[in-house]
Amino acid sequence: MRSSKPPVQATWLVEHLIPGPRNEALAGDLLEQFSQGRSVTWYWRQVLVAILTGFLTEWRIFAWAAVVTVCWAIPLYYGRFGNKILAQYAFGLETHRWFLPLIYATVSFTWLAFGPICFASVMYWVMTTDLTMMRKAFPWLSLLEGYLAVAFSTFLLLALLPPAFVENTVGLLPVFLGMLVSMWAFRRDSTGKRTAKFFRILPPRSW
Amino acid sequence: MMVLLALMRLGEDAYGVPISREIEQQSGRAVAAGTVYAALERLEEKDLVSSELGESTPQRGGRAKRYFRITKKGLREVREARSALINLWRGLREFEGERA
Repeated sequence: MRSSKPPVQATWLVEHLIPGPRNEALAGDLLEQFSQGRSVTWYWRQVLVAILTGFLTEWRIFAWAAVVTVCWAIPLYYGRFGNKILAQYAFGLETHRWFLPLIYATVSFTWLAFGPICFASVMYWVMTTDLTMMRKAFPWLSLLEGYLAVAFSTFLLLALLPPAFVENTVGLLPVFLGMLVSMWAFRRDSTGKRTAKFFRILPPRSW
Repeated sequence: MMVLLALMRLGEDAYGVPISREIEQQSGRAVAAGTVYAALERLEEKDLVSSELGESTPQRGGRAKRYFRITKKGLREVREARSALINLWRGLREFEGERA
């Protein structure tokens, strides 16, 4: 006997894993067709195809988010480490081997120079996008609050993690993942269109 | 192209369910709603299609319908594609004697 209600899990997946404005209408369409006699198997198949299609059509956005995240997370991670070494130099605190601080200092200076630009770029990108996904998950968050929450949690993560954990390569992973998830969440603009046109958005705007 | 033609055939009543059904009926092939929406979204990005939210029904669990409409640019694209296809079709030996 056919179930009278569609699988709740499948509907949840449609609403949460399919990006953009299409998810609500699509979920409604699937429910409408299910109520007209479609089977549970049909429903699940439609949901899985929709998720897969959504991912395939958005892989470019994901790739851009990954690139931007790498550009952000690496200097953030090494910048923190480098600043610590710089402080050791500046205040005459203990110094380790010579070559390591030199590398970290170089990276840190690079971060100090390019950091604000990176920060401004990410900030600009976030401000020109819409938090549709975030609003859905956290409707109490405004645009700025959402960004500050992500930025603060990233810095907090770096500050609270044990230094030994942060200072090895594994320490980069939470920063990277945190940023990637936030970038992924911010990937729609105010009209609901994709923000994959990262470099197409930038030129017409003035700083 | 099939999606655009389906939109034109449906007119005012073009939302996900009838669009999928129209394509299925006319092509004789099953289509997944997700792929239809992906195509519609791409067309919307190219300004060939516009959309607006419509009414919600209890049948849809209170979720709004999204109505799609072909734009002037979309209509022009369809016309151009049609004439290009007719030109390509013309003079094909394999189909000589058949009516399009």
